[in-house]
Order: sequence, then C-alpha cells, then structure tokens
Amino acid sequence: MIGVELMKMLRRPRTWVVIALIDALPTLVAFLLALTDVGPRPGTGPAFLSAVLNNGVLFPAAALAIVLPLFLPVSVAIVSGDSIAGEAQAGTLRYLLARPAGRTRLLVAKLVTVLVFVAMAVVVVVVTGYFVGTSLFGTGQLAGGNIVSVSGEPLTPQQAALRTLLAMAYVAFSMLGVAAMAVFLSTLTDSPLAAAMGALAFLVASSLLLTLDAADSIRPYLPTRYWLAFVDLFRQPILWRDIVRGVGLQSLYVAVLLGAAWANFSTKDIKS
Amino acid sequence: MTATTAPSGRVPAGPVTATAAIRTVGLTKRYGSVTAVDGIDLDVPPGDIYGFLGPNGSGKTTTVRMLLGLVLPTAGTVEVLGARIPKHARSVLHRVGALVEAPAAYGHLGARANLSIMDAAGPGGSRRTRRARIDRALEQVGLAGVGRRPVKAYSLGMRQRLGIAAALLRKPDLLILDEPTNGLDPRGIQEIRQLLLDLNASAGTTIFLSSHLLAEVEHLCKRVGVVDRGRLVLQDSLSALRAPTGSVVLRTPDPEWAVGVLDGDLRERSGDRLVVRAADPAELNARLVRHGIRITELTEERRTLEEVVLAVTTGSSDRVDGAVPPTTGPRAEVLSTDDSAWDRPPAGPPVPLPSRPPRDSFSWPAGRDTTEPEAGWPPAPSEPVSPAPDDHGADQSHPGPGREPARSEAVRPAPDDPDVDPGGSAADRAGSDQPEARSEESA
Repeated sequence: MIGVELMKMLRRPRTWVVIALIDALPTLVAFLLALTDVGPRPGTGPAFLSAVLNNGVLFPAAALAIVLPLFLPVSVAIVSGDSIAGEAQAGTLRYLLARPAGRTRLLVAKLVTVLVFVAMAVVVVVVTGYFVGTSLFGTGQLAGGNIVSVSGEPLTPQQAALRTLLAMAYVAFSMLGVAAMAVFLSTLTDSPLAAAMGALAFLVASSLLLTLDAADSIRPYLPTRYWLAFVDLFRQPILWRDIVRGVGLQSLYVAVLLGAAWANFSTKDIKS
Repeated sequence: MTATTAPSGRVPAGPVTATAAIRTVGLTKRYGSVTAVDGIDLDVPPGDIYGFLGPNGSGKTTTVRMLLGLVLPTAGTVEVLGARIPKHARSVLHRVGALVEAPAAYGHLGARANLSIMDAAGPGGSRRTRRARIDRALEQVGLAGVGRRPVKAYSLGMRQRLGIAAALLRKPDLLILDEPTNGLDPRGIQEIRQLLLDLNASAGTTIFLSSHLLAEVEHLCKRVGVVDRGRLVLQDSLSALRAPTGSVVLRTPDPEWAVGVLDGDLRERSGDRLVVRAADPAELNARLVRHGIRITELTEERRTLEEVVLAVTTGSSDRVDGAVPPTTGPRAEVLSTDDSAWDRPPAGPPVPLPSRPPRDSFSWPAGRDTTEPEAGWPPAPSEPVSPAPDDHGADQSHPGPGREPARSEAVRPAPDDPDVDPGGSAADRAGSDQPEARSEESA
C-alpha cells in the first residue's frame, strides 16, 4: 500500500513541478546576490545571507531559511491536503476503500508519502543550494576554508556539513505540524483546496500571533514559534534549547492532529 | 461460515456456499433526523442476479455503500459472502467487484496503470498474475486496444467500461454494480448485459445490480428488490411479479359484438381494444370464435416491471414541488418510450388521476418482503391500465390527449431516449441527476 501511494506521488507531474518551484526561489536569490554582490546587512534579511557572500558552503542553510517561512509549508500543505480529499474528489477513495485498502492503512500510507515528499523537497533544496552556492560564491578559501558560525567562532567544513544535515532534519520535522494539520483537514472535507488552505490559515494565524506582544503568553505553543531555531545549529557551540523545544512542540501537534485525523477517518461515512 | 473458494480462484458453476451472497438484517442508516435506509432485510442467494430498484434518493446507493463498508450503518447488520461488514471487510471484500455510482480513475494515468494501482492497493490480487488479469479484464469490457492514453481523455462510455473492468479484475464471486450501463450506447449496454449473463452462467458470479433503469433489470435479473424511501417494499422473483393478472387483452374489428358477448367480464374498453377478466385465454378465444367474432390479437395480460415498481413506490425524492400540491400525482410523469401509447385513442373521458395519499397516511404491507399484490397495487378500478404486451411501459395516467402528444408539458422523454425511466422526473432531466450520462451516448 505504501509502495502504491509512493508510486502515485512520484508519477504525478505536480510533485515535480512543486519541488522545482521550491527550488527556484533560493537559486534566483543566489544569482541576484552573485550578480550584484549586494548582500543584506548582517542581522537583516533571511538568515545566513550576509555570510553567504564570503562562503558558499553556508548557502544550503540560507536556502532552507529562504523556503522555510512560506514556500515549503505551502507545498507541504498542498500535498498533504490532497492526501485523502484528493482521492475523495476524484471518486477513487470509495474504490480504494472498497478494494479494501483499509482505512488505517491508507492513512498511514498517505502520511509516509507526505514524509517522503518533505524529505525530497528539503534534500533537493539543500543539494542545489550547495552546488549553486559553492559555484557562485566559492568555498571561502581566503578564510582558510573555515566557515564563520553565527556566533562568530569558526566551523570546520566537516562541522558545517554535519550541521547542515541536522538542519535538514529539523526543517523537515518542523513541516510535520503543517502536514498533520492538512491531513486532518483532508479527512474532514472532500476538497483538497479547502484542506490545504485551512492548514495555511493555521500557519498564517500562528505567524501573526508571534508578532503580537499581547499574545506573549501563548507564544511558546504556536506551531511556527521554533521553526527558525535551526539557525542555532550553526552556533558554536550549538544552542540546543529552542531546537529541543521545537521538536517537542511539533511532536505534540503531530500526535494530536494525526490522532484526530485517524479517529475521524476511521469512523467516517464515505459519501464522495 | 466463509466460502470455500480461493481468493482469486474461479468459482465453479452453481452455488458454492450455503450462506447468502448478501444478507442484511434491519439495516438502517440515519443522517441526523433523516432516515436514508430504514430496516432493509436483503437476501441475495449465491448465483443470483438480483435487481435492486427504486426511485432516485430512495436509499439504493446508501445501501450499496453499506454493503461495501463505506457507510457505517446506524443499526442492523450486513453480511457479504458470509462475513460481517465492516468488521471483516478485509477478509472478504477482495472477492467483491464493485461499481459505486460513477466509475473513477486517476486521470493522468492510462487504463492499465489505473487497474494496476487499484489491484495493488488491497489484498487478494497476486502481483504475478496482475498483468494477465488486467489484459483479460480489459478484453472482457472491450478496451483491449486502449493503449496508454490517459483516462482524462476517455469518453464517458470508456470510463464506464474501465470501471467495470476494475470490478472484474479479481474474478469476483460477487459483483455489486450501481448503474453499470450509465453512459453506454445501446450496443454497449447490450455487450455489458451479455458479459454479466456470461459471468453468471459460467462462473456462477452473483450479481447485485442497483438501478433505476427498469429495462436493464427486466432483461437481466432473476430476482428484484424494490426500495422506496429507504424501505424495502418488495423482494421477489421477477417471474412471480410478472405473473398473469387474470385478464386478457384482445383486439377485434367487432368490438360491439364482443362487448355484448362478454358483458360482465369486460374490465375496460378503448376503441377496438378490450381488457377482459378471464382465467383461461384459450377458453375465452373459443367462446368469442363460437359467436363468430373475429380476433386480431389476444394476449394474456402481464404486469410490466414498470407497473409493479410504480405501484409500490412513491415519487422520486429529487422532485421538489412548490407549496401548491400538483393536480397530478407523480404518476403523471411516467415516462414511456412506447410511442404507440400516444397513438391509442383516449379511453373515454379523461379519467381523473388518483391523487397520491400523503406520506403519513400511506402504509405499506406489513410483511415487506412478501408480495401482497392486493395491497395498494393497480389497477385501481377507474384507472385505465394499459396491458402493454410489448414490455414497454405504458402511460397509464395521461388523460388521453388524442393523437397529438402534449409536448408542451415538457415531461416527455426525447423520442430517442433509450431508457425507460419510471422514477425519473422533470428534475432529472433538468440536470440534477447524471446530466452527462444523458447527454453523451457514444462509447
């Protein structure tokens, strides 16, 4: 079942278009930076961008920071929102369930598919980020090959590579809250668009509340609160506090929302 | 308990199990305050071809969905091939082929890829035999040469065939088909009908056919169940339902003489066409001939399936009338493809149509699954019942417009409409129900 769902995702042209679009933005940013040589002043703009001009090895992290706030969650919401509602809208859900695929199995297969999609998107962004970054900005030979970390201490290339891998894992994990929300909504409605938009509304609301001082007391519980904590992985030494909290918070959201999705889907009357 | 056949094995002819292919007890589904299905007791023996009839919105599809574990019953039990649904759906549903409402497929993939995905999505479809089974199923439905075209480029008829192929993929012991000939042209309908009959005869496949197309059911089914407003109002063999009514229809060039001879036995007369109460047609014939009355046509009157169904069902739920009650009951909209019905002379003065009793005061026979022909069946005495020996539904309620059909009423079907659609109403054709199916006939 999982294999079937993966094949369905991979054979869908949409999957590849979405990944290409996610990838296009950081690549465009890299070219603009290289052409103009005008980086944002340190402390402004997306994370790492000011440092990238000196060393392209940091560009994968910068690319993650560029797609993290909007592009990645939008694509995850689209793919996850489509999971059940898309089948319902196409009418294939009733045939899958009468086959019988099994409701829980189908839901698990859809979740695994979403996970694979997130992983693919993150890997593609990082890999292209690395190639684009190093070819446009060099590998920082002038500074002895070391990378200046966010906190000012130097990082060896090995350290930088390890931390980029950790950052990929953390960013992918951060997307699971959105994915779980979209999958849950996808079991509620027969419209994939409504499910994706609902999940995005959830994110926009969270991002908006983060900027509001009056929402200070609920801030630690907002799903997007710790998203950018992956920047802390590039401090020397790594500042784990927010990352650990971020993982815990996402786990909570994922557990609750997937539980709700399962409870709803396994007892739902399929009328589509 | 369970059938003895292997999951994808071919079933020998004849019943393979003692258990019913489908059995429901008190099956009920309520959506809030609306009772969609109300205590249905279905009983479909193995090897049967069962026609499940009813007007639009009468609960047919909800029942079919409950059989497949898609909709969960509020009360009552479902057993399919001896296993409880939805609890043991996984152990048995792979032996069931289903077409629920419209067919569905992934539009960007071709027929083979679609069938392959569906086959891989559940138990009972061996990967080794998949390619061969797909080829065979496509062959059976006449799509063998379909190639790699994506399904989104298919016509409605091709999609329908693909849906049937998906249902046949694992040589199922039971086929649950909801409107299987939707969107097919007359030749396609004939092909599918023959395919189903062959499957039933050669493999003993039980077929549960949900439809509102009476002609389809009449041609295929051995037994019928009729639902109306969520209740099973009739479940019997087709031959019993279509038993002679005890009357004889005859045409004679000497109607006046005949009326004189028959006097007391005459039930109804329209021009040269007489309906006579007579137990034995041969004896009646002899009697008339003895009196020197010439006879051009003499047939035993049998109820058409359409008459039977119309008698036990009320209007379609997709018909929504305004506050003013219509002067004619739903039967005024009986559709007929039999144009000769319009050519018949009017049966005397227009007969006032019986107005249908309001829902609450209308009670069905207590024993719903036994046939009780007397309970509310036509013919009502004042109602001219057309015997329609040619199997076509007859218009029994139109107040005789003479030779000119009252086209302005806009309830006449298109002359080339192949469907005899008794449950249909103006709302149907206004596009509320399967508009594409009606507009596209090409396969």
